[in-house]
Amino acid sequence: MDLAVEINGLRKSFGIDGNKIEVIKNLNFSLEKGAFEIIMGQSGSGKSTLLHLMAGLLNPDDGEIIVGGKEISKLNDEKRTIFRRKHIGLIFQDFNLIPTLTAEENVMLPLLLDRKHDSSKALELLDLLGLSNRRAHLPSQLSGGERQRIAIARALVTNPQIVLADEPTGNLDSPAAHDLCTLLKKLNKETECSILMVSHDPVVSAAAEKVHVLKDGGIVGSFTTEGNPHTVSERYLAAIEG
Amino acid sequence: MILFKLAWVSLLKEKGQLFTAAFGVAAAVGLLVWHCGLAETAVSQSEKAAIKATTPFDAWIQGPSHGPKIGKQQTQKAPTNGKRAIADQAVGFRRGGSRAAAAPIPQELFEAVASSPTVKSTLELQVAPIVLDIRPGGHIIQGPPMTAQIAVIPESAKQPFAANELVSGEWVSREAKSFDATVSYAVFEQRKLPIPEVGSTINLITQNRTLTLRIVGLYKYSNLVAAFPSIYTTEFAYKEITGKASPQMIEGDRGNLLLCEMADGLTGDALEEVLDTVPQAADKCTFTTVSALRDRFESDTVGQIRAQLPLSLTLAFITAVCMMTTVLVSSITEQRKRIAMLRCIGMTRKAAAGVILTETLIIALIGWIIGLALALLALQCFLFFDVSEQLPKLVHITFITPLYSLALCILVCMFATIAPAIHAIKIAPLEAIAPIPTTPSPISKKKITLGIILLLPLFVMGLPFAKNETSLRYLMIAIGMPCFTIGCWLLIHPIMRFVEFCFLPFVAWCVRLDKHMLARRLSREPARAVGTIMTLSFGLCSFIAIHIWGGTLMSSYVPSPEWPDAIVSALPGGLTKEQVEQGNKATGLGRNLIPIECTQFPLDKSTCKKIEANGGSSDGQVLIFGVDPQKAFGENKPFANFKFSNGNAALAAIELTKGDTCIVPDMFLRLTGLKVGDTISLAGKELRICGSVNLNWHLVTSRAQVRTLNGRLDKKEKSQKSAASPKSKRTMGMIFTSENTARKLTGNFDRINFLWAELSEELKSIHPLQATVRLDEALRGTMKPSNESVLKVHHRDEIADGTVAHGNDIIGTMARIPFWSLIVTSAGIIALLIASAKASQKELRTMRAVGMTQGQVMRLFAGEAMLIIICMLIISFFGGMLIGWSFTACTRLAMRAGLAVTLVIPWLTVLKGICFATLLCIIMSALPLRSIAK
Repeated sequence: MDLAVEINGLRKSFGIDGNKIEVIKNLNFSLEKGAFEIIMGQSGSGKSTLLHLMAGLLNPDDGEIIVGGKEISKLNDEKRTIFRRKHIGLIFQDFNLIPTLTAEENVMLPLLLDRKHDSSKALELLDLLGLSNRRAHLPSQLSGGERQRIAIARALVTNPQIVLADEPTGNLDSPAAHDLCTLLKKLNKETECSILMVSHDPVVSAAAEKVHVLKDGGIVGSFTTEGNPHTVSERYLAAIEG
Repeated sequence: MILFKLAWVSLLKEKGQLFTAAFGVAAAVGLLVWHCGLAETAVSQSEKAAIKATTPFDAWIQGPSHGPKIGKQQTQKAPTNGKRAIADQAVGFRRGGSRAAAAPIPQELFEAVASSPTVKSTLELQVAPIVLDIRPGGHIIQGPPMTAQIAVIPESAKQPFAANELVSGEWVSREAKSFDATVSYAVFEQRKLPIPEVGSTINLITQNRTLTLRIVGLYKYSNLVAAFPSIYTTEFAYKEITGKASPQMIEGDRGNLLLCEMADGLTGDALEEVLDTVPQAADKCTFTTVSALRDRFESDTVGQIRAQLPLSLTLAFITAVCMMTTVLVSSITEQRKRIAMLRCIGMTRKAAAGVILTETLIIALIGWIIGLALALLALQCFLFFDVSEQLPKLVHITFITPLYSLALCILVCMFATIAPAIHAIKIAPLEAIAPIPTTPSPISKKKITLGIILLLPLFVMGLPFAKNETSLRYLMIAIGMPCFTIGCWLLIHPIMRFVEFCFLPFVAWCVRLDKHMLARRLSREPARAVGTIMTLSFGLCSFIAIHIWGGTLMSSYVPSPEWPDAIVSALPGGLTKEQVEQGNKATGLGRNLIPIECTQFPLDKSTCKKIEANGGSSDGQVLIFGVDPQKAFGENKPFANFKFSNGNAALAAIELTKGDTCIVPDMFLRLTGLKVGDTISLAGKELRICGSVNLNWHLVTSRAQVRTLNGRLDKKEKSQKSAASPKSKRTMGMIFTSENTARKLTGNFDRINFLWAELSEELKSIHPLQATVRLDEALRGTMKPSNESVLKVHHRDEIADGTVAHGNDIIGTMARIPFWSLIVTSAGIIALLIASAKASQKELRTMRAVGMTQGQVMRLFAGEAMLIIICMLIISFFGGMLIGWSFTACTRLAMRAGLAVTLVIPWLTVLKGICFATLLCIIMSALPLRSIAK
């Protein structure tokens, strides 16, 4: 079976010498191609750290991270960055759009960094996300939901192998969060792009197929969501307590 | 205490900015400490220097009408302390000198001094000023003639001053029947010439002849007292040079310099009473003591520093203020949320401003300590390695230097606090919880309009409407420059947008990034960049303005290219016609030489009245320049290919031959208000102006000694009753007339003192200096001038080169200070880039997350730096042009003698300045890029 992400023996700690905290401890994980899965855990469990490691934003202390068949943990910063630009899409909690670029330019940002100027894909995504009429607007002129959709479009513009989303609904209200999850699900189906999302919200998690529970630096359990937030909550609590 | 803590914590967080601001203050303090410390150190040695220069003598008396004439700025001040003792200028370049020796000391004065019990011993010298003809490498030295004071070496066959140290060779022997001399280093050092070898020769020009002295020894000489001899020679040579024997040779013939060694325990001041016993004789002479010399040395030293300090200090002050303001404003922009939080919690606006003031004080104090320490260290190193032996080896300062520098610091603090404090007090508490708007601020049309209006006063002041130079200068300083500065400030934001609009594709191409990456990098937060751009622009703008002003000023003096290739002078005895005919055979001439007859004298009273009625100036003498009209202006290709504003060469040739006409330069008509067709009268002779030419003639005639700076009255014309008495003897104008007319006026019909020469094509194609040397040799070979005359070729282009070089030297000295300012202020670009990086941290993280490499981040900021530099270049260039243009108006009003003033822009120099500034900023901006990218 084809894997979008494979992690073996991953370790990561923060701090110096006598004050070190091991955030990720000998973690093994895999994500299939085309899957839409969630990582849940308590605050400080290492969810965002794990995502950042997968995105190549952090260097692991030990272990290997293979994304799309390429081991990125051994690459230098430049190569990792270029790989991330071409093959990984990132969505953040607080959108992180560039305030002086328009919606269209924000979507095209990864392409612009590669000095590519073909805007057809960007326009296609904006259309898909219902933002064609907002393409020339600055982020300050968009609502929270619209900004997050721009961020999603940016993450997809390079046809990445995987999209990593770090609590993308954290700054949205419930209806907007629900819409976002529906959108991600739809995109996952249509583009066959793997999506791995970090969330602590059972409602949001229910949109995905599978949930992995992170505790004390390792995966302590994985379960299917059955599309039901209650199921997600129960199984999550069981994994945490068990 | 809390204010201090807040300020200190804030500064510690922003170490880069702290360093940059402190650096600006340190540089300003360093400059001031250097100047003041050097002055204090030099002055501390005044007593020692004065004693060293005069030992074993305590006082000296010079005969009537003594010594070198002193220029306007160094005029001897009458003693105000009730004492007779007074000293000549002791420090700095002494311009020229009187050609006449002082008269002998009156007999009664000598007897009174020699017989006084307060005087232990006296030594009498006859000292004569001489003019030297030194040509290093055959090159005629530009500027006033080189002079020295020559005396016979005293009886003891060694010179009388303890400090004069023989460096090589020997002291000349008084009795030798030869033209030997022992020469001081000062003779050559005064014009920065290389010291010749013992055994070489130097030429002297006297009233009657030229002489060659052989150097048998060289000695070091303090040169503080201009009246003391700088060359010692034999009796034989002295007599030949001056036509008189020294006092030791002829009984009863007094010398003109009486050196006095006082009795033990007495100073030269004790002679005051002795001189009071012979007041009439003493009043005619000049009496100097060691203490008067010391006082003069001190005042000259301080005077020199005072002359240099205002410009340096002003630029240093402005630089430091700009740096501090820029850094603090940047810092506030970054700390908005923190300051807003403090305001939320309960900090008043006053306290917020107090935090800023405290930050400023801390930075200023750090800068003061660093500047003071480094400047003193640099000064100590300078003194340690100084070979001139005029300065001590250790720095000597009192509390004055540190106090002045501290005062400068405080002043910088006060001014630098204003803008940041205003920013700080405008921060609203709600900014702590509400998101800070990130949309770029729009351009205000009102500000653009006001900015342009504020540039206009300086432009208008440059137009030729003003009548008074002093008023115009004050208007420029009081109104023009401040309006210009504020106008630039208001226009920087639109200029940033303009630069981003026009240059973004180019900059993006240079840094290999998409232009969208660089969009609005400057103009999104204009407040941050404005200060840095203004500060950077200041240095280059001043540089360009100074060079435009200097170039314009200089251009009026550079000889017109239409002037014939060279003037050959044969002074003082002149040449015969036969010699000139022989000279025509010399290799290197394009055509036969044309004799010139010149003289200077004032216009007749009738002409002066006419000029005054026109509102013109008739003060000074005119230079009559007589040439053969046909040879000079006739023929198909005139010898003197002047640009005629009225008339033409052919007409000039015909009219001048008549003998009652003349041609004048346009500047003469401007100065006098006369016009073509008017008649001028000199020495009873009327000459009608038949044409005018556009010609710069000042330097080419003075260098060739066709005229003298102080004028010259022809003996014949001194008796002319109709001549007006000029208020000054300067040359107010020049008149071309026929050679015959000129000779009738001078009464000289047989000697030829000047010739016009046209060079052959071969000599025209080589460097003027080489051409001069070769023609000089060729003419000497053919003309064979006697010892009564010194033959010299004065090449127009060599004079032009010398003028330009001299002018560039002066301008360069002034323009060096803006360069210093630019070097200091370019460090501000470091602070700006760091601030910009901090402000866009979140954005940068996003871009890095999305896939921007570290290299691309570095190039992003390199692109931002390029945009800043382009803004700086635009403001500096146009600002420098505008200021240079305005200063030209002052120059126009200040220029005498109707000299034409045309705006000259030295493009090459301006380009060099722009390249240097750009390179410097690029280097500075490269420094923080790596750490920003990380």
